Amino acid sequence: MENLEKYIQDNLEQFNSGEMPQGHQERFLAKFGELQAQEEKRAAARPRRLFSRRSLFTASAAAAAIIIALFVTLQQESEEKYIIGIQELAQEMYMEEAEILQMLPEDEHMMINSVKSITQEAIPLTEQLPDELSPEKRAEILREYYKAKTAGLKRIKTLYAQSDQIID
Amino acid sequence: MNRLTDIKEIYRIYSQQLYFTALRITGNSFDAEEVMQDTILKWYSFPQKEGIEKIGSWLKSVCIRKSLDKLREKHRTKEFLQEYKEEAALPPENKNLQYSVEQIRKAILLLPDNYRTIISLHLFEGYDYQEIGEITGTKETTIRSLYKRAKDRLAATIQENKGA
Repeated sequence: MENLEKYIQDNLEQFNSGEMPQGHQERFLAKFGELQAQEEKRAAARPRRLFSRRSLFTASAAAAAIIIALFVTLQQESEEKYIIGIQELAQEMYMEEAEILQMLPEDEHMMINSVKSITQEAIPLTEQLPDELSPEKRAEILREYYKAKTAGLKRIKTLYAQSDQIID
Repeated sequence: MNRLTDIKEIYRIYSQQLYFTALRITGNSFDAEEVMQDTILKWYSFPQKEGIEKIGSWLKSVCIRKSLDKLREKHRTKEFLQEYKEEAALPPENKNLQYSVEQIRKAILLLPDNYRTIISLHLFEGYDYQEIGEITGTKETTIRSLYKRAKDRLAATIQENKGA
């Protein structure tokens, strides 16, 4: 079996090339066109952006700072193996938040506040966890924490998109 | 570069690799194309895409997650990797088995979803057992034993197809 594994490794490039379904590029451009049309429609329905690219960038930079602080703390305290995947989960959460904030019109104050309250932390969870917890347990709690928040944001995004379609 | 040429260039560079990554996990061409295209559109819609340092890695990671979501939709459960645990013993491996890229590619598509996923993530995408456990929400020990079964099944499937 080592031979088969080695064969695959040696020919990886060939496995990632070959014929793709006919018309794939045309279908992609059609999808892209739809996406652009949706964006334009949303932009027209939203006369003034509450969240400019600059403010989103600031939010994202703040989020990145929190993530970095979190991992510096974790890495100091624990072995690297426990933190694998947490950074991705945290990033995914902030990506979801940014996507929803872009979708929302400026008068959706309640929705905006609800979304922001999911990701904002007065005291970061890493600082709230008791010191006596093992690095493994801390990592497990953080994983579940980000997963639950991301799932909530995804649910909000789906519900909002559905309600948007009903209104359309 | 305007937005259209920008995304066309990304599509030209990455679509093929993303398509085959998605195909190995989802197991069908229709889903693979959809996942690949949605992945590139996600990049396009991502507000901080200018900040992504390694576009290829970012796209691959999104593509794998979307492919796994497709499988989960199909199985309607997060635990699809736990399935087929009790499989009959496989025939002994033929050490002289010869194969080609095309034969392996076909055999992978004939594997059960859980085996195909493990083979794809470990052998083709280079994730270790622990990382696969994180991505799929499955215990590392389960991944380890599934991988062993999956590669035995892959060899057996290649052998069967050659005989057919």
